[in-house]
Amino acid sequence: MKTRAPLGMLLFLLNEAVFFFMLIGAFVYFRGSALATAARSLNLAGASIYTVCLLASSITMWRGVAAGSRGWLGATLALGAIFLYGQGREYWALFRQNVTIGGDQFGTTFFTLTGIHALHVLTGLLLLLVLLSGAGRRSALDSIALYWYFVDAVWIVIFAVVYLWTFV
Amino acid sequence: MPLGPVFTPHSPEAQAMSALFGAFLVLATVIFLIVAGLVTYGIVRYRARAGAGEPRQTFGSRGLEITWTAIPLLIVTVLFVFTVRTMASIDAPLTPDQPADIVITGHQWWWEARYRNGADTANEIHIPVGRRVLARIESVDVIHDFWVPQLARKMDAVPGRPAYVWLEADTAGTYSGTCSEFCGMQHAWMRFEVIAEPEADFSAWLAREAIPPQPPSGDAAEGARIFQQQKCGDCHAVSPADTRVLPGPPLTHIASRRLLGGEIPNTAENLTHWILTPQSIKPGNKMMDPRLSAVDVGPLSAYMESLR
Amino acid sequence: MKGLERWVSTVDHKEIGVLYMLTALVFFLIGGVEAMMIRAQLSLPGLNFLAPETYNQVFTMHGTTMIFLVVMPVLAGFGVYLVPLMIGASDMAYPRLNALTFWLQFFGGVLLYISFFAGGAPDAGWFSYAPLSEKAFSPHAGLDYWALGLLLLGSGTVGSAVNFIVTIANHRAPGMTIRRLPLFVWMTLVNSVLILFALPALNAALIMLLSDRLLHAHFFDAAQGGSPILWQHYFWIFGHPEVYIMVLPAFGMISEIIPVFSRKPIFGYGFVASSTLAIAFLSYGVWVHHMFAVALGRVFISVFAAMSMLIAVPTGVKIFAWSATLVGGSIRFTTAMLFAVAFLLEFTIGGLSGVAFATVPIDWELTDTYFVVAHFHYVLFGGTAFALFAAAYYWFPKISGRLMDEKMGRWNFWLVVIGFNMTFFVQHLLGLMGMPRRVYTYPNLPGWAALNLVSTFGAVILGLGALVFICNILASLAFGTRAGNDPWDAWTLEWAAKSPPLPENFETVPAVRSRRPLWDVKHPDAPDWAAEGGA
Repeated sequence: MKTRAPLGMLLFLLNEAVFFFMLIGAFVYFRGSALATAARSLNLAGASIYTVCLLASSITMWRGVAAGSRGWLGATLALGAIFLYGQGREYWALFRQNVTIGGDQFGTTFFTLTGIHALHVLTGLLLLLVLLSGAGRRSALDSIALYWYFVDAVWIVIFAVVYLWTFV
Repeated sequence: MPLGPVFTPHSPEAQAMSALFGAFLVLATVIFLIVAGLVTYGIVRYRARAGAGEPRQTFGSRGLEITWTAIPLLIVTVLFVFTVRTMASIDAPLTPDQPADIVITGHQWWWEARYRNGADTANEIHIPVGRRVLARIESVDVIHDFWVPQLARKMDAVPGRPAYVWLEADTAGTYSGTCSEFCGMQHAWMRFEVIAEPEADFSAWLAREAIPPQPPSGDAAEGARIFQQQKCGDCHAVSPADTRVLPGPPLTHIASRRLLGGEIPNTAENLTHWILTPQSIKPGNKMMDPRLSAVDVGPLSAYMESLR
Repeated sequence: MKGLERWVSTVDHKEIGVLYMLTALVFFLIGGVEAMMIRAQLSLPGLNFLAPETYNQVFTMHGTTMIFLVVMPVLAGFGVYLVPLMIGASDMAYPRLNALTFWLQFFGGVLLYISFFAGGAPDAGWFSYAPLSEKAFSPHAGLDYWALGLLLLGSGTVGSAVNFIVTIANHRAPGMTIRRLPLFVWMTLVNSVLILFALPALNAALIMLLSDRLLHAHFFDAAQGGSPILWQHYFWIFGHPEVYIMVLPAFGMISEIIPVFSRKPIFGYGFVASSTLAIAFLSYGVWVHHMFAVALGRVFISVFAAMSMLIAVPTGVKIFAWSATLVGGSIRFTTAMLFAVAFLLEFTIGGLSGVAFATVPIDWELTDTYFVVAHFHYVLFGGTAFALFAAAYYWFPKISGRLMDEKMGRWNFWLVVIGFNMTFFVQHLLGLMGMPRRVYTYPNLPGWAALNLVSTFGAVILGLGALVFICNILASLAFGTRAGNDPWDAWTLEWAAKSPPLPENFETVPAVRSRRPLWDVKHPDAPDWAAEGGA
């Protein structure tokens, strides 16, 4: 039954969407007391670059699924890794400015939200890696792709709320 | 069977809640009797008889189904109207345009009441009879809930989020109150009393509480020295001028209070017992054991007795 | 050893269903012992049977256990066992996910109980209000175990909800349209959707609480700019749908059992099914009625009061439909039916006292008193647990191949009914007398001691009733009368399978042309699909 796996994945992602909605809700709830630190310490340009990489990875994923090509999937893996690297650099920069999860409300909400998202990206990368190494079933690709698009879509919302809304 | 506070209200606010509850009780009883009647009729009249075959198969009745959707809808609509009206009549504003007469603060596990003239007391709130006063409810640690069942609505004391209630009593008397939100180990004994007294008595009490107690003499003076030496003042205020937020209740006029810890009568014997073994009466409270000798406790107790 | 290995590695929905039920039964015993400890401590004022810190752990674990380790898994167990059989499938859609979600819940429960050996069980209530649940006020690790355990349980629950939806969507027998689903399956489906939207709110709140406790974030710590109210919102956005999550499958069980023993189809399938949707939808708009004692503004509170009252309407529709199913029937009083009929009355009391809390000024008097304890035990024990007793007597023959003993069943029933009402009815009165809940002891105010003692005696009787139930299960497993495939002359597909069913469930699935496929088989002269309103 071909439609089986994606329906299960879709339902799981529905649950994940609510989960992220709640975490983003907490960020918005504390936005007033977090805004000053956010505006002072976030790096919009840097974040934009790795955001573009993540979005591009959705396109390569789509090509990979359509063409059944390992090359495109490898590219997805690389772009996802660049995203995580970029985010890691941003964390490091924030730490050096003494912005931490135990600092103010910005640190609390920013690191929890983006950290949980980064864990989702990492999970996606590991799933892809398993698949590319030949251990996973080929039929799992549809579900993994769906998951990957979802994680990217969530990032667009996070990027808009955390970065763009801070600087407009 | 003693009537509960819900049925013996002593303020217009509590009377409004009580009246609404009475009406609700009648309504709920009637509905329950209808359901119970229907069920009883069903199981008595339609018991299986020996040898009977399958009964007639019926699948429902649109008319009945719509009826028992519509009538409850009507009932809850009426109930909602009464709910909103009663709420409006008893609830204090979210942000009142007058200052609070009393600031009531929840601490683990005691209540502080500070009046506008500086009077500051614990687990005992005095109000004038027949006059509505505005109380501001706060917390310094976890969430508590201020509840005097015969007088006022419940109000959560949420740290960082002050709230207001009207406090009023139509008859002089002592009304018991309690914390009504689980707040940790001694939630059970976070009890207090509201004492409603005639205006003149209330004013006299309020004025007396706002001035520092008499300087101690004799045995009590020795007690005051021990109080200092043991750093009791790090946690307890002994003057209305001391407005620090402290973990222990103010002792400024402790001798004038009825209860210790909101729980036991304020007698010299109980006080001595509490000081000697602070964790025995209300285990878990924030008071450290000062490990005093019996020799020191006497004067300290005398000092407390002098604070009136 | 061979047997153990089989049970640990099984992916068969029936075996996993049994695992769920057995796990729930064990935790039911533990939660029951905790309840007895609570009642012992409260039987008289001023007792020192439990120290305050112990009492707080015990009532926290009692609530958490009964909700997350008894009701949720036992409902999942019945669902996992019955849904494939009732829709004519051979297994769940994802058998391995099914096993995984069971073990997630199993180890979630184990983790929760390990806390007793790691410095103390959680003690901030099943709702763990911040900031009491923060490190500053609860420094020991109990709360961390609580949050991690619940995360595992929550993830397992979400997984099984996904599994239910896909199974019901894709694995129905030919002819089993959505409108012909047995009501238990229908309510499990709606319930699974509820879970998908409700559990993530809890998971998010738990992640935030763990961030606070382990990483020094301050989501909920007012002293550092956090918001205790945010925890309350998030917890109850989960917590109120959770109440319906614990009750909807029970509604489904009652909707199967009452018709069979009344020998009539459910009165108004359409209204019963669609009122379930209404409840599910409204259940997301009522959470603030747990927070009416917080100063949130009258307009805001009124909206939630209205929604909370509205949700009584579809619930009432069900009560009337079940009662009307009795009328005109030919009622057989098996133990299952006794519990189902008692459910109608007990649950009505719980439902009505629930409306009291939607009536805001009454809530301002009675919330966080023993009136609440009485209310939700009428919903969760008088409602869900009574339905579960009925379900156990009804489906035990299918699961084990043997009937449960009816004589012990009567003892079970009357002890539970008397014990339950004795324990909890008086708690309404205690609430009206001003006794707050979650107190380890209480002052000797007029009437309090007597009523508490009555309640404790009731709990002992209730406990005996529960023990009779467990004895009945054990005795009937060994000596019960052989049941045959269809002991109740019932109408849904599971009764066409063998008792216990074959590994693949069915040799052939009967044709489905109405909501009662086996009625059609047994009454070819007057099938439902030919009757008006029957199909």
